[in-house]
Amino acid sequence: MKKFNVVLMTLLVIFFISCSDDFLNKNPLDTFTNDNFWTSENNVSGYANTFYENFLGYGNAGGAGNFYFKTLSDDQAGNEFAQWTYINVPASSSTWKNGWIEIRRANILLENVDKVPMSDAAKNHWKGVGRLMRAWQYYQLIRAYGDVPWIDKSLDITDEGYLYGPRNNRDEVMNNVLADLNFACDNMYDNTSKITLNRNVAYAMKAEICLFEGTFRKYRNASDGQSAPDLTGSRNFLTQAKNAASYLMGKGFSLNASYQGNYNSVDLSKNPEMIMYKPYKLGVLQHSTIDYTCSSTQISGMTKNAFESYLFLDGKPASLTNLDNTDAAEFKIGTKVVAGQTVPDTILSITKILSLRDKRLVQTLDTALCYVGRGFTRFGVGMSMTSSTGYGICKYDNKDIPVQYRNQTNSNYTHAPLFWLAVVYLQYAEACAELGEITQDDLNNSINKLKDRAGLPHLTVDVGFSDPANNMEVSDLIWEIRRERRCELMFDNWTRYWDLIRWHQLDKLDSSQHPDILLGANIVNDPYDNAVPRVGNYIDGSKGKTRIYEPKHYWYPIPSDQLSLNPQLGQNSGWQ
Amino acid sequence: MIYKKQMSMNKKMIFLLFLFSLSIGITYAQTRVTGRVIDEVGEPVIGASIKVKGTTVGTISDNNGNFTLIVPENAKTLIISYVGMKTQEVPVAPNISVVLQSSTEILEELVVVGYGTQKKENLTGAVSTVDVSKTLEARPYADVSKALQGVVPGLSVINSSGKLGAQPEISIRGLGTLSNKEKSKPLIVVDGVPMEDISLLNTQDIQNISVLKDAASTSIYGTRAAFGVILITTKSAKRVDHVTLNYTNNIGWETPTILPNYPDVPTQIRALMVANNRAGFPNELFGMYLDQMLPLAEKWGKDHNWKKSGYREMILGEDFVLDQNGVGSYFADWDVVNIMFRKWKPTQSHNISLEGTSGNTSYFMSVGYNHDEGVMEYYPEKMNKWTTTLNITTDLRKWFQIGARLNFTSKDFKGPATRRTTYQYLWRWGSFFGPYGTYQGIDFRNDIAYRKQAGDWIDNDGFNRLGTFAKLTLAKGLTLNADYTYNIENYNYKAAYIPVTVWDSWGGKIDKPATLSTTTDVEQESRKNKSFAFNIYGNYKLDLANVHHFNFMLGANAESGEYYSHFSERQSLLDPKMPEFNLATGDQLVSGSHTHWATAGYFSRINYDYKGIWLLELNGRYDGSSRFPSNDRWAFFPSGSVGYRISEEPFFTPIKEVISNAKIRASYGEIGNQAVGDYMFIPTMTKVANTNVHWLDNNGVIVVQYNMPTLVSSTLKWERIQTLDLGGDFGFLNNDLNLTFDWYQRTTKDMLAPGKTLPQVLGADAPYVNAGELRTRGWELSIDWRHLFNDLTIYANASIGDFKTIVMKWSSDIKLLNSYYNGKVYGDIWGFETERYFTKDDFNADGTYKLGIASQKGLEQGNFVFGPGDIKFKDLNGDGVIDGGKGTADDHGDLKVIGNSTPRYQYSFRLGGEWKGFDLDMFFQGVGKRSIWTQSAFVMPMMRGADAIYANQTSYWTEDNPDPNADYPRMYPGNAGRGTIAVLDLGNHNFYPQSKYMVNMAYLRFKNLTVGYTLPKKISDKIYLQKARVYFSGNNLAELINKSIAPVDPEINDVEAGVSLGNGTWGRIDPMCRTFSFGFQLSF
Repeated sequence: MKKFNVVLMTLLVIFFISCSDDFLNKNPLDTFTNDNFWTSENNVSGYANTFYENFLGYGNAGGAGNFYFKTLSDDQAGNEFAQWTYINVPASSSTWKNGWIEIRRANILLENVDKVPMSDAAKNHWKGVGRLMRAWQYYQLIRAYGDVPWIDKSLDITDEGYLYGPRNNRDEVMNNVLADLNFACDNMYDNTSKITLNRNVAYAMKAEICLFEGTFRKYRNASDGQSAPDLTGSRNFLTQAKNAASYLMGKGFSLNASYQGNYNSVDLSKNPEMIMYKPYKLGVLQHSTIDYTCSSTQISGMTKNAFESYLFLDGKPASLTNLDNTDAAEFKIGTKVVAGQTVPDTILSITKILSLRDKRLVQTLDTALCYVGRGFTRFGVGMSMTSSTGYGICKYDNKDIPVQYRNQTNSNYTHAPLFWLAVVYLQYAEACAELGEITQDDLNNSINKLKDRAGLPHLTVDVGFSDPANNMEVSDLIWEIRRERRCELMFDNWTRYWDLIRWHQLDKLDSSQHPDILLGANIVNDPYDNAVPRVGNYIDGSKGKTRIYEPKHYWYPIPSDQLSLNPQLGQNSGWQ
Repeated sequence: MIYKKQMSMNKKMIFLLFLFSLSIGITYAQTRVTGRVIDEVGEPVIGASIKVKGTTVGTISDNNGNFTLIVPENAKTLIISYVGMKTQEVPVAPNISVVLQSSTEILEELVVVGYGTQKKENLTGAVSTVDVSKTLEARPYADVSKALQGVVPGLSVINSSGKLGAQPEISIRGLGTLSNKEKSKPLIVVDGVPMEDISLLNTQDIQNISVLKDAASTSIYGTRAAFGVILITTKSAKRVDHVTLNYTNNIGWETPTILPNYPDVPTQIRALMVANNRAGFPNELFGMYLDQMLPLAEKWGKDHNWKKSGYREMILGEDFVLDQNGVGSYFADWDVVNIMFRKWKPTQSHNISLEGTSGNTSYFMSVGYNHDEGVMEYYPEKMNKWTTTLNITTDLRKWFQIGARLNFTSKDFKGPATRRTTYQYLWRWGSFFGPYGTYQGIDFRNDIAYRKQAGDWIDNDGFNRLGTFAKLTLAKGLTLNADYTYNIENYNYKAAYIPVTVWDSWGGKIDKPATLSTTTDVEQESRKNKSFAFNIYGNYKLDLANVHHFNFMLGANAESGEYYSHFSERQSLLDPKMPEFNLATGDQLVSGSHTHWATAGYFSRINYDYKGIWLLELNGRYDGSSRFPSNDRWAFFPSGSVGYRISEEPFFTPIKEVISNAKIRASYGEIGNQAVGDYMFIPTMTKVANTNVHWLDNNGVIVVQYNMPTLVSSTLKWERIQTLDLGGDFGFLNNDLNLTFDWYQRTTKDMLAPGKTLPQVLGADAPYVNAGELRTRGWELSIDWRHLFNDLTIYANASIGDFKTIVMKWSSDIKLLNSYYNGKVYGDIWGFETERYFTKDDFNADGTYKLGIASQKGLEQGNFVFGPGDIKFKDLNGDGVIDGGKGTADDHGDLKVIGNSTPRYQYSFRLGGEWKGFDLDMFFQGVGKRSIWTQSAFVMPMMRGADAIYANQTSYWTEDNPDPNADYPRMYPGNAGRGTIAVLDLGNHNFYPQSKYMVNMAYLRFKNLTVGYTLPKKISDKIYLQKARVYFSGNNLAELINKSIAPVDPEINDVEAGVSLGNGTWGRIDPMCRTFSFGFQLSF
């Protein structure tokens, strides 16, 4: 009996031993692995969907977006945002880090597409997506850092040559970027979806990147720690930019009737101007751009300098116009309802001022000024808003949306434009002008359509006047094209800052040379002695702050942690 | 619990008895024995065990100390034992009277070790036992892990918040690996089977806890035991002669230990204004203009005699005003602490257990109940725990015992599903801004409203454990044990998020109440964790010539587990009061997870002792884990230990009066570590969580995204943990005084480390590699003293342990201070040494530094410029510039190690005694050295922005009062960002990590006081009770040492869930509490 037990137990143990190796095989159940993922186009598409996180648009949830929030420019003055991105060499930088993550993501896609059973057209499309996204990331890195290492494979920890190697010359890397862009333009799916990466988006990116590169190579200056101008390269990129823009102008897009409609719409899918936009949806994906431009958190308002860049309806700047060119807001007395009671109300109105200017301005700014001591509520109820410069920003707001979806963080659901026809028109006109071969037809087919929408007379090749404010040493035509770009894309996508970089005009952000980039509205008519700081009649938007330009600001500094890890990277000029 | 071990045995007699016991089932030859057991003073000993030597036949004495036992005819000897008394052997006679001597000898204890027990005197490994009766019995602890704090040297139990149900972090001998998110958890084995969450145990069911600390003791459990083992045995069904019913309860009240507070409102406003003015920020907070509020706040203070207000209806014009837009300015000073926190919160627990024997079957059953609550006044969280246990053992044959253990625990929690974190917002702004009153009966936008109006968060954790075991005696000295246990844990929660209607004091117009967070949704999640464990092991005991004692053990173990979770959410409730999926119409969301694992192992152990003088133990385990790739799944890990009991040598006899026991021991072993995280060896491509996806498809649905494959090194191996332990056990004065000392060194070889820091051009997190080596050296000392003076027993014990962990090897030579490097002491914090505040004299008229004053220009960011009143750091390298050099250990500029976050010198001591039924026990526990960089707004004012200052922050440098001895520098809002030195922790401007604002976390606290009175037996007998005791027990009664500059409990070290540490939020979490409790214990 007992012996039987012993035998039985022994047998059990032996059985147990024999099955144990299988017993320990436990592969992941609820996640793919690199070995079983690359099996269908659907999976590839899911992988590539992660690239969409690169398009911030109006931001996600409570976070900042790329419109309005990027205030380092001469367009906005504010208390907290007036300074350069870097004063000292930073310890670390997410701009640097995230760029390389995205480049790895693209390289992994490129290395695996051929494994997936799908048609050659499909393979080429997804390779196009990978190369387009790699180009896009390099563009972001290069315009910030200049020279960067060129990495076209997913690195392993053993790839020390890449990991610890020096940076490549930016021009050389940009040539690689152009090859990536051309591959994407030739091979990506040509469809009309406005929320997926397709051939149109590839061309839109190509136009933007090539215009950047063409103008950058033309205007850069060896004395500011950059290479000497490269006019041949410049012509090549400008031509590529012009052709890419031209391609898109022939793809059936047309301007949306309303300028503001590009920015405050809850549905951009039907907007004929959109090439690609970022969708939001109530309860699913929301942003806070409207809230931050109407809540009690002080708005970083428009500067006097930006305000004055808008033309009057006669097509002339303030110094030349025949219209009333005062910028002093009017003091008005009205009534409003407070706690159920009708009480007197006073406002400083700029309704009349706006009515004489570029129609885009009234779609960008509130008609009443608001500042410390003079709060303003756009909806008549709720938050009392103030602006650092007095100018409230209404460009992104939409009065048709219930108030509770406008005045709280992570509650706004308007769609964000990413690539759209107006930008293409501006690129086309600028590329033609910079190539020195612009015709009146070119203007009429591009930015004069924007002028029509803005209620302004057409621009002619021979401008007909010279704006005394032209401080960029460029022709009247190029100055007007740049003005058009500034006004059309006011507060959008941090465009202005990077424009100043590529035009080699970064010194325009120096507040000691250009004090009106820190000033705001003319409040001489406000009878109350509010505590708001002023310079003369104008609000001091940044209260005593200064921003001093140095040539080193053309480049971001390489973060010091990366330099410690790889001294071969070398620091950018002026940051040593 | 202590098992008594019989004295030296006659081999032949045992053999005969053994044979006899085998035949007993057939012959049934019997003799009747009656007797009485009394103690030295003639009192009956109740519950003494009377056993026929060499058999399981036995009984226990009754209330009068009497017993009757039918013994086999051939029985020669009875063994009489009782806890705390010397065991006696007496010859079998029809009538026996036994006087048991009380024993202070604890050497004869049997200690529970892996897969068995061992005589304490023969132990050669580093094993500590917990005095369960003084640690858990009738103490106000619902969670056994919290009660273990400080009771065993080398066992760290670190609480970091007072959150209801929060579990402390447990570790043995500190951190053992930098992999697995720098966690090295001990293996917790309950009744032979691993258990993750021991808060689900009934503390009153626990009989016995052993802590195995060195590799020689733990290696029998294999790769999960690399960092120590806690062995818990619950009360089992054992043979008793009559049914006993026990009832114990504990009713308590708890109050927060230490809470922050605010100074008066004008003081707060002035500080905010000073900071805003310096930065050029508007003096505005949610539409309130601080400069305009200041005179109003001053008037309010005077009108109210500077007394803070309770929660009440607010008066417009007196407590707040409205501006032209109807936006309020709130300047009343609210007593936030008393409004928001409960002065006392109740707790209680009850426990009933029943044990008895019927025929060959014994049973133990118990039911326990705990109730605990949160500290918030409004919608306090509530937790109820029910535990039930049923243990049955039956002797099928004399040589074949089987049994079953059934446990069921249900833990219910109910709290508010708040739409914002409570403590973060409670402490974020000043005491004027809630505001904490009502207007027209409606609350403002504060935590009162958010909690009062919150939906319910209800969760339930149900844990079942079903175990069976068998024990066979196959031949003389040969036993076989097998057990199989199935665990299943089902957790689910349900939460309803509903709108909150308030006066919107965040800059809103006070016209009609605003509805915030207008969306509604119901969420539900269920998690199922099931696992089984199977053990089989045989034991063979062999004594040769009565001098060579062998014990051989051989066994196998297999465990496997599977985990599922499922989460669902649906928006737009039809009725917020009825949060059900069927009554919601909006978008729905589902997610889940599914994982599995398995381990298996074969183990063996050989024990040998020579005359009880020389001791040897060898262990080996061949172990496999599903966490490793198939080609590297199995590995063999050996260990061994030796001991020398010099006190048993004949030559030692002359001094045995003084040194009654002396043993020295040494052990060494190597264990593989499998706890390196899931799927460390497979490049997984996870789906991006929906909450991190920010793109929609044409239908407005979140798109699918996949992460890049994780970067995995192809050369990974097991981590090997090698432990050397040298120790000694000594007894003095007839073992009244005992001392145990251990020194150890634990080396983690081939440590899987979170990669070396690689340049970011890699584009991925550095993969784990076997690059590191970690070494911990430490020591532990415990001293016990106990003495009996007539009817007064006094005891005292103390223990202390310390260790230091050093990174011995690292693959990178760069030695970045924020990474690891060869020679780095784990937990070291780098920062500047604070010298003083700058004065005007340090600067030239144009703001540049005067000659000889080290420049801090390189530390400036944004608009902050160092000037008079700001922190001046010490120019440690004398180069005239304050910087961090290259940020490496070789070139660290002016940085130095300003503290270490590892708790050092963890110590405790206990004093107590018993006298005529009264008992007193005092337990003190502390940490000798520890400091942390908190980044907290409680510690440094205005870390996030000009939000608030606290009562401890009123002394600061101002231009009007440039006090060089002020607690804080010149105010500046927003200092929680990263400074210009990459390798430093968060904090910039004046609050770079630095010596002055480190928080000293050393403390000594009066952890527990228990006073009890047991009714004399004569009285309790009359009311038919075996035992009756009443007691008071208090926890965390006082802090005897606390030098923290943070206005929170010295154990607090956490932030509220969902809040980022980077925003100065450290310490904004549920406070720790003091407990005052009463109860009684009855045995029927």
